[in-house]
Amino acid sequence: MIEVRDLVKHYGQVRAVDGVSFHCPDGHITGLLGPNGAGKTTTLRMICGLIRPMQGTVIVDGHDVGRNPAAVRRALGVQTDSSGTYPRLTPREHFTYFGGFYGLYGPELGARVQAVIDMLGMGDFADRRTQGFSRGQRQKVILGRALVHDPRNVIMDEPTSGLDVMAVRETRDVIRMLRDRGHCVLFTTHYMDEAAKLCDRVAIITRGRIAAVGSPTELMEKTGCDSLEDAFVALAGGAQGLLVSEYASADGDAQGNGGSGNGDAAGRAR
Amino acid sequence: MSRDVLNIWRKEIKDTVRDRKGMTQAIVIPLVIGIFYASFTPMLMKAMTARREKPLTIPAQGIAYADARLLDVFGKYGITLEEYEGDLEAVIQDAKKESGLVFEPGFTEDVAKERPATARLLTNSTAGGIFGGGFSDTRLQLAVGAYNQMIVAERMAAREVDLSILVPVALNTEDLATPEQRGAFFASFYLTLLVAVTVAQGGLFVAIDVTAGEKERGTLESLLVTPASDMAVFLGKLGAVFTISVIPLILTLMAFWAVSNLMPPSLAAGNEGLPGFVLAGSLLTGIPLALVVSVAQMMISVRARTFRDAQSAATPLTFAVMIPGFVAAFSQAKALWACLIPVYGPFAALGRMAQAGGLQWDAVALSAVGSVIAAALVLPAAVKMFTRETLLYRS
Repeated sequence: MIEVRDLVKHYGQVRAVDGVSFHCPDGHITGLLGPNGAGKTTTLRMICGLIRPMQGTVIVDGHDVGRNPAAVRRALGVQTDSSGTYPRLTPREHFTYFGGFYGLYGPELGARVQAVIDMLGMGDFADRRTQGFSRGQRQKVILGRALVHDPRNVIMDEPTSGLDVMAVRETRDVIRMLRDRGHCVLFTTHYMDEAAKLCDRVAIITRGRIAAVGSPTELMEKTGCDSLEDAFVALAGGAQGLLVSEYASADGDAQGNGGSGNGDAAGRAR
Repeated sequence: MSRDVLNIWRKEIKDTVRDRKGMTQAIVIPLVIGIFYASFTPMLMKAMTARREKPLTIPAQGIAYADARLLDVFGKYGITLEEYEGDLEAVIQDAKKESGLVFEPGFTEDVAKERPATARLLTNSTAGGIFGGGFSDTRLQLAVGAYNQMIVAERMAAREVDLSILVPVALNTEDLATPEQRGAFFASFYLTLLVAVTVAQGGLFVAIDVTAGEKERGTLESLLVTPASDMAVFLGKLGAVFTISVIPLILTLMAFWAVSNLMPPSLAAGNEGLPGFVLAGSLLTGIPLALVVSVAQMMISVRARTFRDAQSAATPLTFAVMIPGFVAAFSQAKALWACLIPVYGPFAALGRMAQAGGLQWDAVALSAVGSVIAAALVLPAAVKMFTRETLLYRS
């Protein structure tokens, strides 16, 4: 389970994240939705410990990212928003490399790598160098290296962005499978229909603040909209945060207070 | 942590070895330079020696006015004069001939009457190229000097003057350099340059690739979200850079040694070959130097946004390594304490060993200490740069 409590991160005068709180239970898919520049990626980076929050904390399976970032990372599998791979390594070598950071080695590591290859249907290209891979193939490599250690909590930053229809479906199937196996899944997306289909819970973030949290159905009901996209626009776009207090408090999650914080902004939480 | 460091090191080495461009820059180019240095120089020396000793035919005008004894002396120096009918000055100015002689009427008579006899030596310092010019006029001047001594000796004898008064100082030069010193002296000059180039260039491509390159590819963030600590990630990458910079150093020096020592005598031009202690000294001083340079290369590359930015930023560092090497190669005496100076020290130590004709452990130890201290001072700054949040935003 991932608990985000009152995260604050400012860059000079810019309040990138301004008191964000939400939680992602096990066995649920939680979508973090927001327009560009809303603070989604910054929030995810603070959850992973890549960025040190100025205020607030993140608890992953009972581990505080500020106090024990290594334990948090061991409990997380993170698919970043970049589709970068090592072009001279094969997918199998990618998974072996990343699995090595989680205490896996020898036959156990080999078995996990093969399991991921089978799970993602990569048998045909698992031993080819990733140079020249399609975006869908590269996305599988990135997803696979996030899952190689079978993490309890999975974070995905726009996992279906730029993929073709077949690859999108495959990725969504993997996300559902993870949820069905009891994993906690937190992902961001710009596709509202995708969020509506996949998410058990949605947190809408705008201007660094949580505008609303709830199930897609709850958010539609609260806004009186008949689609998640309209609800999203009402909450994050058209209203520009005017409805924040009402909807956030309805879910019972804390709303940010915009404190200035005194954290060390220079180094990562490692 | 050590397992993470090893994991990263292993991956970076594998990744680099598979990169043809990187391997070419890191290994093949220094190797070729080493072989070139070792083989080109003796061949050049042989060619210059051959040219210095081959018979010369000099175009001249007014040969009939010249003293017959002068022509005899020229003959002993392998110089034959050939009457030139055309415009001698023009042909030399156009660099079609290197030099020529013009004797004025009355030359022989002036010699006989003990008046200064003059001849014009026409020369063009640009003819013959950088390495090939100047041989003919040097030999002509030597021959004329011998002729002058002969004439003066005759005149002194006619006046019953003891010739020894003309030689107040008899300077007999004896070269006490041992064969090892001579071999080391020759080799150390080129080796100093070679070590400087190899260390400056060897790991540069890898340093950029594992930092700025990884940022540009978008793989760095995935690595940083693993449980591996920043220090482990940095040290793993540094280890790979250091390894890749040491490998070409070893290969290049081995190639240099092999070419220097296995070259056929006909090509070696009397070169003594590269003594084993110079090879050992180069490695013992070059490897710690490679560590300093690797850390500095990492530090610079970490700050860059892209591969290209890193290449531009690292250029001054390349010169910062090569220039002290060049200074050491061209300077003579190197004090022992100078071996402690970071970057310059290893080259100074190499120079001291060449002059001493043996492995100098104190110089080697001092240069290694200087390098390790420098690396230890730069390392925290490099790690700090690597752990800054801005690392993530520089892509």
